[in-house]
Order: sequence, then structure tokens, then C-alpha cells
Amino acid sequence: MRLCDVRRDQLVEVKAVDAAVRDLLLRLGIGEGCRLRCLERLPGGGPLVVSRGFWELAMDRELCRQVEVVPARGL
Amino acid sequence: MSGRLIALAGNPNVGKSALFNALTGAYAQVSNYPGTTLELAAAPWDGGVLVDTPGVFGLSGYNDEERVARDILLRADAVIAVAAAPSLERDLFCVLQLADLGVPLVVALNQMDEARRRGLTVDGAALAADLGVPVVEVVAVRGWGVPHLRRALDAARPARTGAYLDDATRLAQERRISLRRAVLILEGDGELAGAAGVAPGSGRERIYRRRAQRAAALARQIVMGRGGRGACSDRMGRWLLRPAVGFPALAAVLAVLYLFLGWFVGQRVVGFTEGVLWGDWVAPVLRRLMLERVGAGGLPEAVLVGPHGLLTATAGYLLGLLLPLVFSFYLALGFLEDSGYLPRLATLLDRAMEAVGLNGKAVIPFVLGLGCVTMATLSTRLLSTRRERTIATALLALAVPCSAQTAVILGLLAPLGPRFLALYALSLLGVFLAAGFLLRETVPGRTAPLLLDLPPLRWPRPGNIWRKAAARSGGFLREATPYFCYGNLGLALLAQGGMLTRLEAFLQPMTQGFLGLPARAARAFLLAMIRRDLGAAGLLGLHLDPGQTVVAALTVTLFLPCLPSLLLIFKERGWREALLIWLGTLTAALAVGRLAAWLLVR
Repeated sequence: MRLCDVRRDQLVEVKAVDAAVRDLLLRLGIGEGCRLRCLERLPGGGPLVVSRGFWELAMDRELCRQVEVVPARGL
Repeated sequence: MSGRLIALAGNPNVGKSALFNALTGAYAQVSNYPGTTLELAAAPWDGGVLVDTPGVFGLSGYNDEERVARDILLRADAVIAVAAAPSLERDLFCVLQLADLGVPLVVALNQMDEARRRGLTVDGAALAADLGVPVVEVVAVRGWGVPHLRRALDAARPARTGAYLDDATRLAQERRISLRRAVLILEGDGELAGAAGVAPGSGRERIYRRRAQRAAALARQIVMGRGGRGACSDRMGRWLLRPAVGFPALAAVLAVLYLFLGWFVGQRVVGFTEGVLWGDWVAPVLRRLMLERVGAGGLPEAVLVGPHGLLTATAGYLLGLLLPLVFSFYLALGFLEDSGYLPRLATLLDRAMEAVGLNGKAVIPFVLGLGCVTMATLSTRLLSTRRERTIATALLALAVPCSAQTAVILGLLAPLGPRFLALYALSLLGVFLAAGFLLRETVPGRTAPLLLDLPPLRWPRPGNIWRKAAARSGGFLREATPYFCYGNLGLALLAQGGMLTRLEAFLQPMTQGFLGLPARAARAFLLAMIRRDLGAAGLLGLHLDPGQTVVAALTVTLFLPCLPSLLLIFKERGWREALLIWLGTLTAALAVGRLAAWLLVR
């Protein structure tokens, strides 16, 4: 499953990140094993808002498509 | 210990500028959105110099801010790595990169009060033990922990670096370069590699991966507690991202801004400061005093107290009309900046901004442009690609009126009623969209996808808003006063020799024939070539009918970017783009003015 496909409030774990954006996202602490929660999905193909702990990030839908995730159990 | 260069470094929006202010007593602007600091701020401190660097997520030379921060960190004698305790999981990557450089380091864990409020415990001692450098807990905006940080700096030392950097030590010894240069070369910094005469390293991904793993393990060890989600501000922050709430909230913000700036300040406050305080009390006294000294009817009267006089008209515009409005606008802007609303607005409008070839992040320069277009042009640096910066700069130069200009335009249009004000605003929006569409189709390059940090919503601190508005208004007065003085002095001298009438007659085909305005409007356009707000002020007292007022207001708004903006555009975008923007705004202003005249002027 890709990050762009997750539902609102769903908790996921990052399995892999496409090479094109791997460095960019690693600098933000988003890499393999990192857990993200989808807080909002803006309509019309708009950005996703994800959180990692208390940190929130708005991500373009195309960028989310390059992040492979699996569902994770709640903390 | 004297003469040291100390640098504050870290991720965007972790409180570096607040810490800079707390340590030095100087003032660097503090806001609640990523990318507030775009240029270095420096102040004497502790016998040396303290430098506030732009917030970066790393030192990979991805953009200008990263290069600026990198160049300072290469020279720094010690670094204060600033991290925000609530977002430590994110900030540790940058802290570890600074640690890996081998520079004497102290870590400041900021926003500890917010972390506690959210039920988080951060074990600073464990972080200090792992890194081998002092770690100090601070709350920069309240000054808590700041004296301790100052003392800890004396114990700054190179941190324990990651095991993945053995090659860097070898490279540093072989090439006789500093460890910090060697680390950045291994991470693929082409500029530093070229200077050292080696090929840039290809191990960036490996180093980043290992560093991210180390950061994640460290975070698990030192950050404890799940914290309590669902705080009121968190819920509000999420609602503002939903169109059903976000767009009505935007309409409410605009309505409150209009009531505050357009009605209360623009009519009531300025009615008093310009009409009564300046017009009835100060100006007549100045005029009488000056006439007693210089006599009536000569050049001194025209220059000092005439219709374009420095002591009457110029000072009246600046102090009676513009200063109250500009200061009030900056108060409102400061509230929006510090609340954390702007990044949410940027996210909400991301898809809409695609229509003009930009992503949602560009909303921030456009909102700042409503304060000062020059300042906003500088803030286009927070956009990721050259194409985005070019489009945003051109749109700012064309269709975003600054606060001083808006002040005068509101004064012209408000008495005509909301219908004419709406006509003006919608026309401007139409020009913005049309020009944006054209630029999207013609400017080469790509637009980066949105990736934007959303800071927590906070209730702004009144002291910071007031201080920021005062600093910005002071900057406005310092920048605008010479232009207003030279502009009015030029007009007074031209009027005295009869040149102004001849110039107006020369420009009559454009003003009267093309735009349907009185010949005297030419002086407004002459002034607008220096500053658009000065040009707008030149429209006052022309006795225009409502249609002509809208035509004149639109043309002057879209007219050439003001001189300080133009100089900055030359610096930021190069002469070719600056020339195109200059010609484009002039052409668009005259074309739109002509169209409006054809529709509105009888």
C-alpha cells in the first residue's frame, strides 16, 4: 500500500521509500520503520497531513505515492 | 574566549531566533512558520559574535539557506544546535548532522514547557551522555535556561560521531582539510569537493540511513510518554485544514481584517491622525511658522509648505496617513504569523495554487506581500525551485498591493461604498489569476511538490507582535521617507518652473486619451515610478469620479514595482528576469487600465 492510499486516522509503518525522494524524507526522519498517522486527506487530490508524534507535515499526494507503507497497530 | 564566532543552527521553526533574541537582547524576527529567517542575523555576544542561521533540515546544499548555513558552520568556533523538544524525533537528524561535523557543540532543547504540557518527558542527561556534549533545557521565549546555556557554552566540545564516518577522518587527514569539510564532501557536497580537489562522495544515502537509524534509536531512548492528543488547539488545527471549515474561516479572517484595517483604522483612526491631528493642528502651525521665516510665494514656500511641501504634504502622508495603517497591518500580520495559521492556509490552498504554477507554500510570500512586497520578494527563497521563485516574484511585483499602497487605495475607494471596493479587489484577483496562468504555461522548469511543516496553533504573545510591528514599521519609515521626500521635492521643483504642467500636457494622450483620467493624474504615475504607494498618494485630491477612481487605483496598483523591490528583484533573479518583470508589469498595468476605462469611464 502507498501512503497516498491510507485512510484518515490510520496508523501506518513505512516499509520503503522510492530512491528519488529517499534523501529528502530521511532528513525529516521519515524512513523505513518510521510510524506515521494520517491526520487529514484534503479533497480533490490535495495534500495529506501526517503526524509523527507531535510533529505534523503536509505532503503532496504525488510525494505520498512514493512511500510504501503497511498498516501498524496503535501505540 | 574573545572573538569567537558562535552559530545557532537547527531545523526550521525550532526557536533559533527566539534564542538569539534571548541571548543577545538584539531583535531577529520570530514567527510561527518555517522559514522566518532568510538571511543571517548577527550580534555581538560574550566578547564574540552570535549568528542566527536560517532553519534547515540538513546541510546538503539543496538550496540557498542550506548553503548559507553550511558556510557559517564551516567557520564557526562553536555551534548551539537547537531542537524543539515536542518534535525531537524529527529534529535529532539535524542535531546528529551537526554533531558529526566535529565542531564544538552544545545542544539547546527548546520548548520544554510545551513538551511537558503535552505529557512528554525528554531525558536531556541521556542525550548528553550519548553525544558527549552539554545539553541544556530552555524555553527561549521566556528566557528560561538561557543563563545556563551561556555557561554551558564554555564546555562545548566535539560530539561523539557516528561510526559510519570513519572515511571522513581518513579524508580529512589525507587532504589536510577540517573534519567538517570532509564529512560534507563524503555526503556529496560538490562545491566543497571541488575546492578540495576531490570527487564528491557517493555515500550520502548510506550516511543518511545510518544517521536516521541512530536518531530513531536515540529518540526511543530519551523521549518518554505518549502525551495527550486531542488538545483544543490540535483539533482546531485539523478543522482549519478541512474545506468546510477552512474556507469559512478564511472568509472570517478577511472580514475581520477589513473591519479592523478598512473601517476602524482606515477611516476612524486615520480620519483623526490625518484630518484632525495633522491637517487641523500640526500642518497649519508648521505652515505659519515657516512662512514667517521664508515668506510667501517663493521656492522655499513651495518646497517646504506648498501642495508638495516636505513639512506639510510629505510628512502628512507618512505620519498621518501611512504610519497608522502600516503599523496596524503589521499587528494583524504578526497575529496571523505567530498563530500558526499561515502554514494551514498554505495546505488548504495547495491545489488552488496549481492554477498559477505554484504549490501551497507560495501563499506565505503572498500574504507577507500584503505587508511589504520587498520583504515578500525576499521570502520567495523559501520556495523550492527557480521556476516557483520566478513566478511568485513576478506576481508579487504585478498584482499584490503592499500595506502602504492599500492604505491609500482604501482611502480612495472606501467612501464610494463596498461595490467599488469589490470591483477593484475582484479585478485584481482576475489579473493575478490570468498572469499566473500565463506564467505557469511559459516559465520553464518544475514546481516542487508540497512538503510543509505544520507548527502547532498557538495563541500569539502580544509583546512579540508589538515588537515585530514596531520593527517593521520603523523599517518602512526609514526606507520610504527618502523616496517620499525626493519624489515630492522633484514635483515641487517641476511645478515651480512650470515644467510639471508641460509634462502633464506631454503625457495627456496617455492619462486622458488612453485611461480617461484628468491630465493631472500624470504626476501620480511619475511618482509611482519611484514607489507605488507614493503614486497612489498622488491620486489624492484629484477629484475623480467613481469610475475614474477604480481605473486609477487599478493602474497604479499594477504599475511598476517600487524601486527597492526592483533592486531586490535584480539581485535575486538577475537582470534579464528583472527587465522582463518591469516591462511586463508596465504593459499589464496600462492594458488593464485601458480596459477598465473603456468599461467604467464615460
